[in-house]
Amino acid sequence: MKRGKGHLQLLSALCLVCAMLIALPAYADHDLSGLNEDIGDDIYQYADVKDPYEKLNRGIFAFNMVVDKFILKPIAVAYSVVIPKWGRDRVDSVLKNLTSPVLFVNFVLQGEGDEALDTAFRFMINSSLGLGGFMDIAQEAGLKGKSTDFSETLSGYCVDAGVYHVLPILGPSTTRDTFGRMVDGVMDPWNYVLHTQANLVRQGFGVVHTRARLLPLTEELEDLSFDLYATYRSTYIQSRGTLRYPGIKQCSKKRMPK
Amino acid sequence: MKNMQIYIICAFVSLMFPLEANAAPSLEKAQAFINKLGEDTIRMIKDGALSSKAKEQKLDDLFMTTVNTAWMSKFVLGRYYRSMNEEQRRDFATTYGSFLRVTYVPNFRRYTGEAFHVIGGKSLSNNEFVISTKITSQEDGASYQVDYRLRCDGEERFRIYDIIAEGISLITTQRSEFASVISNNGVDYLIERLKSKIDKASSTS
Repeated sequence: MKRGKGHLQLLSALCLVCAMLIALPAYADHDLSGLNEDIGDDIYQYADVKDPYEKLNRGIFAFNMVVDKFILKPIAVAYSVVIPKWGRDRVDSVLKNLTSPVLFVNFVLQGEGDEALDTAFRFMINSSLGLGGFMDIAQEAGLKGKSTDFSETLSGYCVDAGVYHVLPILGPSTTRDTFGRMVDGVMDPWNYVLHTQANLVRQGFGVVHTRARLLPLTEELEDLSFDLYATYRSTYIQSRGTLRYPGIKQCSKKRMPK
Repeated sequence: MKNMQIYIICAFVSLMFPLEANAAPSLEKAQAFINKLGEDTIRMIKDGALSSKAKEQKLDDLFMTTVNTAWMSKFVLGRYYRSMNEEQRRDFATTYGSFLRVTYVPNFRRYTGEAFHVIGGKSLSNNEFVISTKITSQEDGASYQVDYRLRCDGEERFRIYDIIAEGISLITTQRSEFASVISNNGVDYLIERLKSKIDKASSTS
């Protein structure tokens, strides 16, 4: 599951939330007065991200889980055991630095001038002083990196997310996200500048690095979830729905999952 | 001149206590509630004088009084709630409340000194609020945002009804997940699954 930042955050937060959701006498008396309160169907505005190909998606999801179990996860485990955190942070830093050109173009298209300039400065500083992105010097100097992609750019122009689907190996996506991913690939200068092999190494590192980062969470999600497919679908759509675009006219519909 | 001084003093005093006159639940009160809850919880976890058992009991009491699990159980059932009878509803509410409490204990024990700060909030209606907090890891400085949605009832009591971690809402995720389970296997099956998770978590904790 490449795009799993949301799950990571949810799980990390749950650790903390436990500070409030503590356990114990398993079936102690509960205060049921809340049942008399209004159900509040309108507390979130749900976006219309449908899952019309659920059966097919569940098939691909099951396939991904098998690939993950036997290939991706073992590699990610080995990667995080062999390479210490400091080394993984450097990988993260180099990979992020390489995404700068695509980020820059997207920020410009979104009308986010400040973000675009920050990205350009970050790229210049980190590529030179930061030794090719090896160290995130810019962040230490207070220039924090933000992420974006072409799907977010489209969202800013009120393009609907389309329907939900699961991509083989790559995991959860929507029509707009898949299209955006392709456009980002076409816009990425490294795909033309670097050798094919170098690009494959880069992509491979990206997938393994992300999977390694998600290790503690996917295990917990698997343990807590009653329907892993539905959990991934909901968290994915939510994590893609919180984007805000101050520079661009807000779309009237807020995106939240079904 | 004397009058002027009195006016200035009055102005200062009113600036210092702008909220005291307002009895209605306010955003400031909601923020103070979350802030105190976070601080109390962390203090309890760190309290070396308390036995593990006593700590658990105290945190359990805190949970019971601050989280509106009954309402959450209603929300996570969504449209299926309406087709359930009173007994099923109460059974589900109790089971779901227990589920929330027992499943997250192991996570909670992994607390490694994360810092907790209230960073803002807004009123959603005259008695509903969303309060944003920032959790910062002491180990690597990484931070993430956790928002709490809470409601104030007629007795001036705040209770949390959703936790939103980096834009992902607990009850929204569960509503989606439970809808999938119920539509495939029915409510009774979901309750059974919840109970088996509770038993599993209780036996290992």
